Amino acid sequence: MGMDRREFIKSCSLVAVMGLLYGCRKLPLDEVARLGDGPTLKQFEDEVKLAVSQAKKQLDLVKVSRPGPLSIPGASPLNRFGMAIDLDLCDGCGECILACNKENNVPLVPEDDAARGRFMHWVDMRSGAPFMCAHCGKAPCERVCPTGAANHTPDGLSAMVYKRCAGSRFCGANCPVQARKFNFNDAQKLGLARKFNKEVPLRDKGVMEKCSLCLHRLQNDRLKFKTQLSVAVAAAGNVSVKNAAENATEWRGRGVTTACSDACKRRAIIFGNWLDEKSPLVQLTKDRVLYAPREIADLDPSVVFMRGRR
Amino acid sequence: MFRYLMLAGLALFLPGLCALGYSLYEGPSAWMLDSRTFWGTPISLFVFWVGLAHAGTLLSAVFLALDIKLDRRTALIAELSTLASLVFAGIFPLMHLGYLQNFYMVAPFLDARGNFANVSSPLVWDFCCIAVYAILSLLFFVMHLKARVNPALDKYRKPMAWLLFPLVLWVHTVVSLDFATTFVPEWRGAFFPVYFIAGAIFSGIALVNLLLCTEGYRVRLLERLQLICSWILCAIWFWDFLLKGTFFASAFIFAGVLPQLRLVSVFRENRWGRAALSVSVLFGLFLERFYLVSPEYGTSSSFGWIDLGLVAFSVGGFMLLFFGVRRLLNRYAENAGAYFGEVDGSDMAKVEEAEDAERVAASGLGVEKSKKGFYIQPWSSEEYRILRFPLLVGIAVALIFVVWAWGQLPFVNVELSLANVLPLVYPVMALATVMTLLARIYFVEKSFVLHRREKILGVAILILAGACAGTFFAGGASETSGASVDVAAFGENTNVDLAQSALVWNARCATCHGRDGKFNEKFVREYYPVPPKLDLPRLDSLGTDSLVKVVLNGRVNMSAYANRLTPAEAYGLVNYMRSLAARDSGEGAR
Amino acid sequence: MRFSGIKMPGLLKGGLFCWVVVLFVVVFSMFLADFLLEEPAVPERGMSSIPFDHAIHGDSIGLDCSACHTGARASANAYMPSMADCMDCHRLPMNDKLAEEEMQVDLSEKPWSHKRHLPDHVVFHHGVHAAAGVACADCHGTGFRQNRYGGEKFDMQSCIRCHRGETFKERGFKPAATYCAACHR
Repeated sequence: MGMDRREFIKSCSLVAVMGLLYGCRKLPLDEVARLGDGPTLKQFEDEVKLAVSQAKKQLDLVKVSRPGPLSIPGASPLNRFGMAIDLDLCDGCGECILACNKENNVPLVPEDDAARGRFMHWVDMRSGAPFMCAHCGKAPCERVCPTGAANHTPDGLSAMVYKRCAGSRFCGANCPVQARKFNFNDAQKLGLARKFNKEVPLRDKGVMEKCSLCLHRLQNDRLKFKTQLSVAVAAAGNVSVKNAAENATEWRGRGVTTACSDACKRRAIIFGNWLDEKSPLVQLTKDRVLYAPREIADLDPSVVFMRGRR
Repeated sequence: MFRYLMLAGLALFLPGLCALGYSLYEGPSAWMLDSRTFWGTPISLFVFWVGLAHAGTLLSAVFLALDIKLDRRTALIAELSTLASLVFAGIFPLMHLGYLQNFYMVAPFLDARGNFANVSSPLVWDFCCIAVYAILSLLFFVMHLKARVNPALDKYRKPMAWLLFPLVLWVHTVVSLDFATTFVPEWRGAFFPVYFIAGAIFSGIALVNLLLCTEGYRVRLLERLQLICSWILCAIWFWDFLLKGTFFASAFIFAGVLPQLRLVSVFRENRWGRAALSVSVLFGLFLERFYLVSPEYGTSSSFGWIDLGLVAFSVGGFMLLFFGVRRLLNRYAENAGAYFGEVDGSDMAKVEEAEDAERVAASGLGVEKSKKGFYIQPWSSEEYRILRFPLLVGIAVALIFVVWAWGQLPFVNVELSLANVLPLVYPVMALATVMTLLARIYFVEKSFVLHRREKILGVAILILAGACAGTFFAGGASETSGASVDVAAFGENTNVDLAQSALVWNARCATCHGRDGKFNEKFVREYYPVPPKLDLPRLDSLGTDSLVKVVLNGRVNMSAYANRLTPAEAYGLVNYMRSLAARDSGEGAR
Repeated sequence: MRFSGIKMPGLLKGGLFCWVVVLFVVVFSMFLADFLLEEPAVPERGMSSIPFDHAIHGDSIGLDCSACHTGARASANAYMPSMADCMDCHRLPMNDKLAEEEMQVDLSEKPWSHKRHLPDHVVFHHGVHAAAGVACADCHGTGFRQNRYGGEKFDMQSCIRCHRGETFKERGFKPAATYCAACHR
């Protein structure tokens, strides 16, 4: 292809201008993005109110038996964390949603998504009661996750490793109750995310997330417990410390709660360990009838509903 | 002709490219997504294009393997259309990902951190099968081109075809499992693999028929097959309707009713008529894929500009790629007139003549051809002898891989099941076999020489593959939090028991007072005046409250900790100190 | 295979069409570049600039790391010492007066703080590792004794290999958790 000098210089300068424009175009945009100080708490409250008022999805509950030890290999015989939501007490106020958003840094969504009901909230209102991931013992989402980002802990949590997630959304397609939320927007860049809780990372655009059953609280408690236990064992001659250690030599997650259960004024959400007799969960569900959504009743859910007395 | 088709492709492709760029930048919210399944246009397009990609290998390999006569040009066109379709079948699942940077984590590949893909996920099977299918189809195509120049290579084509034949069915079975193994009611069903394979073959044949129309000739066999496929698919749709009550009217009209017009001679004998029938089939099957992937289409989501752009991108890109390469390949396809099958209106006789002529020519080169009428002579055939050793290697590699992958499950708590790894067996085996076969050709076949350019290309591909593998092995790095770590937070611990106090004691007090409540001799004697001994009677005489005050406010050489400990922690420390002293005196008494 | 005999399509010879092609390609490449270059930077870790002599405080006096980094054996963060922590000792009659004078002068630097290099999604608890018998030097090396502190490189690979029991075999650590949620959130 022939090209004279004039044409050559013309092309070069065009490329240079394009390059310059490309290099600089972000500066003003980034400034705009940085102007906001992040959303206010009021915005989060309003969004929760909107979500509660929009909630239409209904739950079709069926009776289930009490969750027992997990059947997956490597499961802990001591711990299986879960929750029970008391439908007799719950009035559907939505406080749990706000508490969850603040605890887990759940971002806001842009207005058009909100109008379509596409919220990021880990807790939904369905049939007038809070509904979140049930942390199924035989979780269908984990089986289809290609990278292993969705996986089960020995303690019965269905956990997410955000950095391992490739965003294939296969887990979302395979969740029978649509408990999973996908980060369609870059909430940090759009100024929709606010880091209320420094313990929980903000999620990137393009990854899946869902209720973690306040995994970070359990992690912190477990690590603290193990540290203290070893100090207590080291001071073995010390009678009183030894006694304290003998109370529990294995971590059972006692005293840990989730943000939603803390926030519930009517104490309708109870968090605990299904395998620990001393856990409030076991004690308060003893004479109750347990329910779960029909779609996941066979999947051994850890988060169940209770209604009526036996 | 090809040039105009190429330009038409370009005109569709360029706006499509912008749509693709925008979708990559904006992420999955850019295109139509099903609100329930989170899947949308790219997956429908993927299923559609991967179905089209079965045309080439099916027609070329399967017919070759079964010794059904198909002229070389049709076979080449079919193989080329496979490759061009596979490019787009590969792009769409990748762009579908929300976090594309992590795509390599889908491959069953052990990285430096010991992470392994979750082989129980159909997506992993999918990834492997399609990757292997793409590599083998490319090699099959190149082999075909090479064999045209060097007839000695012709005898290796059939063994490769034998390997590719099951792979076609395998790949589409696995694609269908993506859907069939989920909990989405519309996708469930054991008949899905049959359904998908039938649909894929149908669309693949329709594509080849369409491309043959652009070449200006026809193969009646393929047209008849297209008609038969439409009946099979209608039967499956009827079955699906009886099972689940789902029925896609427009898909049925375009892919089920309109193809029957082939029975009308006006459509059959007219080139444009045939092309229209093929287009109708393709359109109908696209709609069917689309409705299938997005069961909630219409209720909560609708088709937008970006979706149209993505469709334009793939259609235009396919035309650009196919007709572009087709132009380049003219000299392979057009210099042997006898090969060019039937021109419009002729019959199969010419192909047979050409094959006979080829056989005569080949016998001069010492290439044995099987007798007509005996298609399969399993243990004594030429193909078997060529394939014997590579196949053994392939099976061995596949076995080793399966055992290895089975042991590499990502977590201790994933259920160990051989069924999870089985879908990978055949692709791995086929890949290893073909690689061994190629090595054999390279080292054994005397007439096979590589040009310098081809050698450079080969080395470049190897280096590139190595670089990719290395990058994926190393994995990415995460951004650090950037939060500042400073002094220990004040009042962090609210509930203070003895175990917690022990931790605080060890951190704050043990430097001077010692972990066991005795003094840290080395430190204290060197730098401090020795303080009075804190034994149990002395602690008792001082009392808890005053000791807490000392801890908080300091005294003589004792530092003040009021800003670093809460009163609760100070109380805890005094209690702990007392328990240490009590143990001490207990030991002394004993 | 040689394709050099093929003529270039006429459309590449210039004209309006050519510019349209260029425009589309530029738009696409910008989107692509945006997408590819948005990657976060790889963490870099330089030497610390804090004027503190670990050798004097550590080996020669026999202070444990946790004497100043008070969380090193007790909590998730090891913590940097505050001015008050330094003055616990330095307010007392000591052999080395110079250090005390230096501390008074250089007040702007204290309390010392530095950036965390642990990503948000990773949990690392110093206390539980110390409690399990892991020595500070096992991970942090002995470089800080020569005041070459701050040059350590941590990655998941070194964590997971020890957790699996592949490294530090001679130390006889108990097997540690290897499921993802043990360390990731």
